[in-house]
Amino acid sequence: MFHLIRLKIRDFRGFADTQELNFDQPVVLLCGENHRGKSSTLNAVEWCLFGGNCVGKKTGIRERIGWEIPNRYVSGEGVLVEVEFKGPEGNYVVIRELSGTGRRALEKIMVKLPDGVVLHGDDAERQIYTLFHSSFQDFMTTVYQHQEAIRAILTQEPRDRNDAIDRLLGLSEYRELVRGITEAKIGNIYKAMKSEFESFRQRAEQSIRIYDKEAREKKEKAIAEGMGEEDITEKEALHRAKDIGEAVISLAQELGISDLQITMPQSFGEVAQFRDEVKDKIDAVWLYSPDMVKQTTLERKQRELVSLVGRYQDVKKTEAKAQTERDKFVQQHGDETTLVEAAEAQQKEITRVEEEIHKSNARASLVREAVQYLKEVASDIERKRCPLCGAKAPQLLNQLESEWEEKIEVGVRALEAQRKEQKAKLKQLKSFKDQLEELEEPLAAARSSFKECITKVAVALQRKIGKHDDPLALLNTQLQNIASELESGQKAIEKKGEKRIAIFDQLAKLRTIDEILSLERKREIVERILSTKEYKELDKLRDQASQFMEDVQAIKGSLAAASREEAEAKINAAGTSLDKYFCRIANHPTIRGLVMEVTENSQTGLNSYNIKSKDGLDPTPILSQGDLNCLALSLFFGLAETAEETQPFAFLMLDDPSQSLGPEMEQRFVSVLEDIAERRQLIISTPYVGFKNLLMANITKNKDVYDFLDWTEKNGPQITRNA
Amino acid sequence: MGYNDEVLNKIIANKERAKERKALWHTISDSFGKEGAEGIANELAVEMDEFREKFDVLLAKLNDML
Amino acid sequence: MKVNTFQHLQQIRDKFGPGIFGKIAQKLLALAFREAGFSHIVERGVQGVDIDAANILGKKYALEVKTTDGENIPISRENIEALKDRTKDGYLPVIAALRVQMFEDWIFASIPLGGLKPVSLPLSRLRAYRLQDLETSICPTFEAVVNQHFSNVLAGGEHYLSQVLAQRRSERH
Repeated sequence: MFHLIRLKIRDFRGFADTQELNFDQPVVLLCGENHRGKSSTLNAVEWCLFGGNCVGKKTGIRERIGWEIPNRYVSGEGVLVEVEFKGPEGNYVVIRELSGTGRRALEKIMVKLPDGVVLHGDDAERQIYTLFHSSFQDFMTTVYQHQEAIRAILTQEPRDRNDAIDRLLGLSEYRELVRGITEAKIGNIYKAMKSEFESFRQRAEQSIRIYDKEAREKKEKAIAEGMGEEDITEKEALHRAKDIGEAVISLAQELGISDLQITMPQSFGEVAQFRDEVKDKIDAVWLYSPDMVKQTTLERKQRELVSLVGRYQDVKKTEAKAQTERDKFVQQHGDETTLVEAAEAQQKEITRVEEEIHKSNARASLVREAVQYLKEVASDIERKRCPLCGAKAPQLLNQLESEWEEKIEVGVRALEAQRKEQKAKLKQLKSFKDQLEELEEPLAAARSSFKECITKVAVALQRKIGKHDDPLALLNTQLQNIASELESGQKAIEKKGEKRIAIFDQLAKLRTIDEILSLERKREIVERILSTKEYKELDKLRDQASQFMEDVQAIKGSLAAASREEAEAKINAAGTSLDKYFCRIANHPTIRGLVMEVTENSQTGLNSYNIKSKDGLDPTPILSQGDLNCLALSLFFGLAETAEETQPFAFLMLDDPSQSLGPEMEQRFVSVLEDIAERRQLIISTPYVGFKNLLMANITKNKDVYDFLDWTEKNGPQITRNA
Repeated sequence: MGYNDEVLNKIIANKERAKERKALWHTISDSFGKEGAEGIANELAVEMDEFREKFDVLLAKLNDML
Repeated sequence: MKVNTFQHLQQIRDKFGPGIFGKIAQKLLALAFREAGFSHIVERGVQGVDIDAANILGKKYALEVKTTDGENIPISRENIEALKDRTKDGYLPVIAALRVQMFEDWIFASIPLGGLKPVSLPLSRLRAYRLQDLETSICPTFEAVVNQHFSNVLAGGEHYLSQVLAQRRSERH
């Protein structure tokens, strides 16, 4: 067995200047407040032995991820940890150094053997393993009780304590390996692949169902319409196409087209194109055949002549009407000459009357003015004289007034009335003249249209229309001739038309066959996907992915099984010791003995620990923090005791082991330590003065005490030794 | 690395696809050694994604055929 | 499998229901093995493994036959025990699973019994253990058998197939 004798530390974690501690007593206490470097002292031994294996993610220990080795506050000569062991053949010194940082970090390891041989590098590492046969996990579970391990079991939720117990048993790596596999979630990726393939499969299935349904429906319809099942084949389709082609050529010949070419389909794939070609050609042949051209021309002529008939009748009617109205007017009122002469005469008469009026008016105005003078201007005396010649005329006014009333006024009035009447007559005559002009205009227009229509008829009939010719009769005769020609032409065409319709019927049937077979082909294409290279590759890939999943599951299963087996082995090995130490330290009033079992969590594959009291009850609801602390200690001591026979190290390191122990538990714990001290060197770190005093008072072996008084960035821990 | 031997023993004992599983185990333990649990998760996800990529390409071709 | 075959199976299942269909599928499979040259066929309806099949080259398979239209098949303790039992006589234990959906076919998987528990087993897991040679030999024969006997199966169900199997057995003797 190897005893720890000496430890030298420089720049390791909280340490700065080189410090040396001696472990030449059976019990060594490291005492002081937190953050003074006590744990770092113990960690240094661990790091010296195991180097990078006790750092980082691969340890499975959370606080070791990003764990810093060099003192971050010092940039000195680099990290150095030197540990001296006393072994069966003498003293062994292990020195590990680390210089540089990050990618430039350089770790050196050296082992000095008792015979003076010095080994470096891999040789040194191998020698360490040869000497101690211990992994970091083993060291952690049977030699060095980390304070974090106890803290984990104290602070984790009860359902998460499995993690903490795995750690206590040195199974954290298994846990992390299983966790890594689980977190890959390859099952989700596989599931997504499965889901996408299923979508594809469903799409393909749906396509086939649709093609099947449509083909079936068309087939049923075709059979209901007289087609046989045996007709719906590619061979039959080509046969039909050939018949149709020949029928079209024959019809074209009957219609007068002898050079029609039709491309017969050689394979089923050409049938659709053939159908389109035939349809277009048959339409063209039909429209441009001589018979059809003649019929079309005759029909066009017929339409033209019918239109002319209508037009002729209209213009003739219009002209007749205009003529009648004019003649009626002339009969009533005379023609233009008569009206003009009458108007002239009337004008003369008016002139004569106006002269008469003028004459009358002259005298009338004299009389009127005289009357006015005599009435309004003249004085009484003047009123008795003639205003013109001055002769006496005492009754002049009366005379004049009487003459005015009886003769002048009446006469002028009569003349004026006459004149008014004459003027009215003249006006009427002028109006008649205007009306006559208005009737002449449409008559002239109607005559012009009529003439125009005659010309058109002549053009349409391709002959002259003489004065004695009846255009209407001529038109009707021509129309009769055309009707007769159309009728005989129609009869000839009807027969050929029936052939045309028959061809279209056959085309429709061919189309049905084409559609049904095309649907069946599409279905086959989908079905043939199964035989494609891509599908086979995909199938193979699915198998490979499944195999990969199975392989990963198998490895996960192996990890889980190995972890569980190791847990079982350790628990079984530590079984009675676990129970013994727990009962001794905890001394729980109701828990008489402790049994631990491990099973596999079926969902995660991880270890699941069940703690039972010996009477079969589950004590976890009533376990206090102190009890859990005892449990952690008991596991450690149990495992340490089990490993004792093969254990290379003669010492145990306990970092803050009494974290949650009450005073009585502490007392019992110290008595356990007293027993252990008989067999193993004890190195105990504690911040508690009380616990330190208990140890000092109750451990009967010689003790060394290192007090960690202070810590500074520049100098690291300030340590004094009290032997 | 006690777990390494334990797992290898189980793989060999199982016989089923022992060669492939040994190789996969080495990949897993190497990843774990470098990057811990995250390393394993990434490595396995990458391998599975390789299947997925090839799968996607083939499935796209098959979908085009429909 | 071809769409026609699938549609035939679907019709059989629609007529007889999933339970009887499973038995019919088992008998059809047994017939397929016979047609594929497996001279020694034992097809069981109740206790033990569903089908034993052995050919003159000495290949021996003990098959648990499962049909489903979903993505999982139920594996019972009895199934596992029955398969384990047959291994003692040198039979290779096989789970023969058919998902009755378009574009699916029989999977013959020799899944390790050691790690197998009574479970609803995803068909995708079987892919890792496929016996490709067996599938290549039996699947096309199965299709031919289905198409050949379809009308009679529809009319006569299980009973018809039992008679056919018995007849084939006696022909061999």
